[in-house]
Amino acid sequence: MNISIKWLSEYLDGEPISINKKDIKDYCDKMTYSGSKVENYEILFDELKNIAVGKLLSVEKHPDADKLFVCSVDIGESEPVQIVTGATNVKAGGIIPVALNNSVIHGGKKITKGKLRGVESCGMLCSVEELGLNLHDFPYADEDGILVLQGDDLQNIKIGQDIKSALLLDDAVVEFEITPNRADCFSMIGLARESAVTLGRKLKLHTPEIKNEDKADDIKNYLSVEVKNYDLCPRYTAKVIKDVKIEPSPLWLRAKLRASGIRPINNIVDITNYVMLEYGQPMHAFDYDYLDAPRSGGKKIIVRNADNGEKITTLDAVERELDEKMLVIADESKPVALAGIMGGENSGISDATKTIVFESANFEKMSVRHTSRKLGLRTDSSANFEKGLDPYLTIQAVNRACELVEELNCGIVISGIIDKYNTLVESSATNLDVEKINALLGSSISEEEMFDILKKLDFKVCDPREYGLIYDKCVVIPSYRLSDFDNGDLTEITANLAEEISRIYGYNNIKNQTGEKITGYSVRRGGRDKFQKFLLDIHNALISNGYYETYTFSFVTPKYFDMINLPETSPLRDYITLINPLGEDTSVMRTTLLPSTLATISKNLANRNDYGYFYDIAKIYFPQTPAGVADTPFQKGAYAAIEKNMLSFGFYDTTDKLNDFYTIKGTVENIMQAAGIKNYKLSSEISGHNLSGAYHPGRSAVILSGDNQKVYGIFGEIHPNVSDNFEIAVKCYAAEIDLDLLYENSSNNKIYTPLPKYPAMTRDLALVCDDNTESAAIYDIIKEKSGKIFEWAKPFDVYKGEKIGEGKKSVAFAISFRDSARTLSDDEVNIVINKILKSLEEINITLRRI
Amino acid sequence: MKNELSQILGEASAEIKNQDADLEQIRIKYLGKKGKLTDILKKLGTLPAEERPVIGAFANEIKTKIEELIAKKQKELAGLNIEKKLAEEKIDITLPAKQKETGKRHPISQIMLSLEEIFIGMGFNIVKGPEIEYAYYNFDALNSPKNHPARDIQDTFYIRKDEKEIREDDILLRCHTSSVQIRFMEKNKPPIKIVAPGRTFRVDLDSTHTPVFHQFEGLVVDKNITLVDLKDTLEAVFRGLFGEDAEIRLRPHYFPFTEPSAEVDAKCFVCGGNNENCPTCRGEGWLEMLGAGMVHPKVLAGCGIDPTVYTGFAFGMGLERLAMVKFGIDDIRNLFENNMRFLRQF
Repeated sequence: MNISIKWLSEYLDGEPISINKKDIKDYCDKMTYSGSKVENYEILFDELKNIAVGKLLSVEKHPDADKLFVCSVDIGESEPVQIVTGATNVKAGGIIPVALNNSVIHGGKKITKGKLRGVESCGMLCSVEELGLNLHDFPYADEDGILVLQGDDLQNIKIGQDIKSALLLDDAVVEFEITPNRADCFSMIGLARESAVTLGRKLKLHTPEIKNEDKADDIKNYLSVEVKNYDLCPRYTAKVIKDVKIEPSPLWLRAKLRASGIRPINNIVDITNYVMLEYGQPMHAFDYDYLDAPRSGGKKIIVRNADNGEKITTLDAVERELDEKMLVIADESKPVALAGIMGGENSGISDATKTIVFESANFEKMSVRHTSRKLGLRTDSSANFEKGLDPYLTIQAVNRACELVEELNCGIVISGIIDKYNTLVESSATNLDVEKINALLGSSISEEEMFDILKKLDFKVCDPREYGLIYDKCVVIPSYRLSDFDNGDLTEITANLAEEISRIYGYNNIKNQTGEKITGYSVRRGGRDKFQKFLLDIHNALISNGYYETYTFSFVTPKYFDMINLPETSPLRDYITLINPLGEDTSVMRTTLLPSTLATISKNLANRNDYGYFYDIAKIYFPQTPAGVADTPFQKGAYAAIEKNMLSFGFYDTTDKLNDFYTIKGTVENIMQAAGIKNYKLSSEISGHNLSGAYHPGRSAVILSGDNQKVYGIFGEIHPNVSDNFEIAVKCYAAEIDLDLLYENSSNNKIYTPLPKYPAMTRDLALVCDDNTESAAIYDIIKEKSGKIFEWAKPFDVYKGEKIGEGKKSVAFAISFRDSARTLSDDEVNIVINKILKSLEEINITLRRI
Repeated sequence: MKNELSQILGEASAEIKNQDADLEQIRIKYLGKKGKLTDILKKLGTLPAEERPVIGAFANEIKTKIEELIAKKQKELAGLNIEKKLAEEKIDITLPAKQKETGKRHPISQIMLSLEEIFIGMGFNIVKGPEIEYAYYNFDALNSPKNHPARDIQDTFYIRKDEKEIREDDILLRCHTSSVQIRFMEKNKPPIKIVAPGRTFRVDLDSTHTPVFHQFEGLVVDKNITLVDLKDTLEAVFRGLFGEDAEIRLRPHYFPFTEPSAEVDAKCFVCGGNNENCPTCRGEGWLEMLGAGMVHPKVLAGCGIDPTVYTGFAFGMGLERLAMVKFGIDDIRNLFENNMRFLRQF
């Protein structure tokens, strides 16, 4: 809501608010603190400097230039000034804006004294554009010439006067963000009331008066109204004006509208806009002659629901198809307006209009919103109705419009009023519980202060007995605030009143009374739960392994599922789809994090980063019931979807080719260690995993629980086809781990093993086996045959070559034996080695002989 | 003979002084089996019996002195050598470091962790809730009217939405973490003291909005909780976040689920409100940080908590905004691009 400060000042007792940056900012700050948040403010026409009203004394041809004129201009000083102009619409006697020597016009252009073709010019005569105005502001102005002021605009103007005060440009506009509970503040009067309370001034309100009604004529001769649906139209008020003269509005009205951001059109339209700004009540003026008159004794307006498929062409010349939920204003044969939104094409005010109907109605907000959304048609009027207006406004607004018609002398108000309503909610009285309010706020505001604040906010302090109430103290809520007050429940009203009182008292003036107490609530132990601590451990493991945490969108493109080679029947294709996604790329809830990680890798490659190590801990989502099965009905406590915590990580590294499958395997092992899971296995048999298609079949593994019953995750080199799909032209590695499952099996039991007292004995064995033998198979035999003196064994070299033979490889193992109670002898270790070799030979693994 | 011995000491010490390498040679020359001192000692037997012990003792003294001189010189030479060696070993310390690059938490997580730390210090528990929600938890239970604009398909992502009427069992992506308040209050009775960080969603995309974002919700419900408690708590939080000079202010506002409601600004921590051209606060002096208020009685009652006995406060802040302000990030979309060059900076 934009308001003119000059206009606002008219409602405030005392001096008007000065139009300067300091005072306006001060005003804005105060309003923000009391609950009307200022978004922005601007001093209007601030750039114009040193432009005055001048009178042309003489206009003569320039001696040396055909297209220039030399003017003598009275600028209210002892001597006239000489100014050269190229404009052709200047004549002696004309009152015009003069940019004097050292002045600034619109656009920041500086004007100084100079010579034009040898003739001195002490300034410049200005056009509307050079003042930052347009033809809506001065409809009679010559677009290509100087602004020559005319008619009523000359009233109150003095020669030599600063142009800003002369043309009422000296104003500031303040933009408020009005919260949805304060529909009353979408009006000058509403904001003036807030301003008055905030600034501690008295509010000056004016009751409209129609002085010269034509008593001989009656509205009944013209019009009757039937409201068919009071739910959607709680009140319909109308007046009729005859002998209308359509003209431009006077300067003061045009100036106010312009400052409020509304373009002046003509007197009648301007009046409806003015009243809407002043009261927040949208008005509609339509041409009476446009209503069909099938009956004698006047025409009839019917407020009714549209028929399905009924059509209307609105003022913007668009034909619109309506539905039965939409409300229209109709005559007996056709709809003439979309209620609260826009008039019909031909019902608008034109220069030929003779008689008009002023409609000032109250339309139900949901209905206006439905119609406006459905038709994609939003107007100032519909925006106001959508906020929910006070039905008591209609009368004041229509009377004000009629008053302005008389003031502008643009028509004759016919006596009588149409005012249709069914029932109107009355303002109610309610309890003011001083103690409870202070208890909620932690304040000690006195009863007197509370009443004082509420009175300024238009609440009435009343005698409870008068309302048949048993309370001690009682206030009556103003009708226009009823929708903000949850009627009935005293605790809620107390909270509402506490807000009214505290915002005016000042949230920041309510202080901690004791000065010591930090908070009043009970002491209890806070902290993270076990799962949250587990997650922190996982995060730390990844970071220390060099991975950067990423944040990726939870919704993805469904194309991803094909891009990672998911089979058509994969359970990961049972995803949740958004009804209203931003686009196809973000239209389904992800069931795996892998594509997001691959996309991150791809983007980093595109950004020419040499390497990238990334991880993402986030949710994946599945429907509660599989497709085709009906959802269980909603009940409290139920969950709308299945959400699982997943970890995905991956990397590519063009700077270090040594980082490969075994690097990501190392990270997996570190994560398992961080989770405290010792009993797990890695298996190259990945085909059972949902994501197996995304991985290189020979360079990937699944992580299994020790009993093979659970699959914690999958990792390895990404399948080249999948890499291609993501435009990843280098080798990349990734993993996905089910964190919920990992957590269920995690442990943070840490038990100390005594440090060894006796030395270990180590042996190296070079073993020749089939190329496809996994080292783990050898390890298992070594471990088993070593018995209790086994400490560790690890392969440290793999060799293939002619010496070994086709289809074979040599794996060198280092083995360490130790007994915690004594020093081992060579002999007993040799016995163990022999046992190991014998077992290995049984499966054709032999000691390498060179 | 005594003179002879003194002379040997003089010769030896002069020789040791001038020698800068092979001291062993000197030792052999004087103290070796055929050395000068040994030669003299061999003649000891020729001396009269009463002189023998005196000269013998003197000879030993001389021997010790020579040994000491040699040892001293040796140490001196060793010292010179090591210095020379170290001087030769000098390296260029400005060459690149060898390091194992560790990763980092995302800037949003870093802000989240700082806040969690502060709240845990004040005795709060951290709780989580689902991201896919029933409209009931996201709107109705929060006293959000059926016609609230946020319920529109233009503002909130829907998974299931009845076309004809606005329903509690419409399914959506939660548009704030306030839904966690309801889920928690349904299952837990006061005293309640929780924070709920989490992922939220709104139909929005520009330089200050992403459709996926993160909020940090707080809720305290107990007897005698006041607006002052809310202020004090938030002040403590912002002092924890921005330092002991941090200031906050409350501005009246409107939220359906709180009454009174406030928006909370923090004094600009870059300029302290003293720079009209401050790029962080754009000269406002204050940074809009969060929404807060006293929990609406209807919200409490709906969760089975008697609003005539208990009161509470709640607040919610956007972590992206906080991260952007704190780290000076100009475009929110950077936070979801995951460019290594970006992530490495925090």
